[in-house]
Amino acid sequence: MNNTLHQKISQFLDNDLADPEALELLQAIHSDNALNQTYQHYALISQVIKTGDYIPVKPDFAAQISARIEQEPYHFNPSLKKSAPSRYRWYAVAASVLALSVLVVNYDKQLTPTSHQASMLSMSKPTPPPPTKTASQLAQNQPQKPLNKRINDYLQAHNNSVYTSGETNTAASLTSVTSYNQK
Amino acid sequence: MNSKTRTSEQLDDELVSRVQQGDKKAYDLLVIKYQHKIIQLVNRYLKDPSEAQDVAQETFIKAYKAIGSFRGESAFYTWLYRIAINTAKNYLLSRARRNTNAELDIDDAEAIENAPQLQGLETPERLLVNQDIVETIQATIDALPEEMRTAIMLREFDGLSYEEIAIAMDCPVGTVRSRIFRAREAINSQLTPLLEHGDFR
Repeated sequence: MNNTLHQKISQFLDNDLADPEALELLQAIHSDNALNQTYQHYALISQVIKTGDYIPVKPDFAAQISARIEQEPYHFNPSLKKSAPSRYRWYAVAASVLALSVLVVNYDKQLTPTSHQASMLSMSKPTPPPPTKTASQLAQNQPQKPLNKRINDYLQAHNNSVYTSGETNTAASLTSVTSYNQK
Repeated sequence: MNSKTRTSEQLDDELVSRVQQGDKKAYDLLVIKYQHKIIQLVNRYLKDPSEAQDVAQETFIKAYKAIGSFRGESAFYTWLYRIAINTAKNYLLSRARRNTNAELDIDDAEAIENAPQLQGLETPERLLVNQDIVETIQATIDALPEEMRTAIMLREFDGLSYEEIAIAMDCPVGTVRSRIFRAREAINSQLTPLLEHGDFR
């Protein structure tokens, strides 16, 4: 029995023991002082052959660590640390929703005058310039007049050419010119 | 990576998972598994076996406290080695600061003198026993039958796997396994009385 376990220790040190057997062996070493001693000796032999020197390991090295861990149980709480990223994720989602809400509200405010204009147009009433227009917007409209005039000249010339080419649908062309002039 | 290394990592993963679920005994097994490697690693930095053990213990405590954040992105031993190296470097820095601090009051001096890590392992008697141990192991290896000596030297000195040794020695893997084990047993039988005398159990 001991010989078998000793051989397993030898294999374990050489990384030649399968997973379940290695776990069983570590548990046996943990609970059996004689087996632990053999394990320490084999490890020591290995170290001396490799390095020509060795470091004596305190017999209670692992036990001291175990005792200290027992004294400090509050330090270890893996689930708390694992939950930290998900908490940040919720913060990020909340911030995104907030930002989206602000954008939607702003967009709605911008849409309101346009829809008002659309309803005015649908009523087919002459539309005076909106009282909300600023001076700069009016100034931007001024340079368009010469351009309109040029286009009007072009359309009238086109109508003349229509007359000369004998087309009959002159009324529509005239209407479009007239309506364009009204604008 | 060979299959045995993968197996060792799987065992580590299993133990780490148990520790993360609150099984402290599983951490004891990880300590047993890696204690020698961590002590040797730390000693390479500190050049002091006694201090190396204290720093190695500190390494295991730090690793335990941080194991909740271990995600398995690297192998456990890689992660543990990194903690060990950082702990050793920090210890060296604090030791350097201590050495440059000329003003020690009497209480500090007494505390250092009575520190357990300075009482133990490096007395002249210990050094003598250490030398005996190294010489005994070397003498026993020299006296081993040729095939056992070759097998254990290929394994320990050259780091060959059992499969590679089997090819090199032209024998089954089971024979290699047996030869290495018998070599260790032979050395251990010579070593045990010495270690018991030196209280190095």
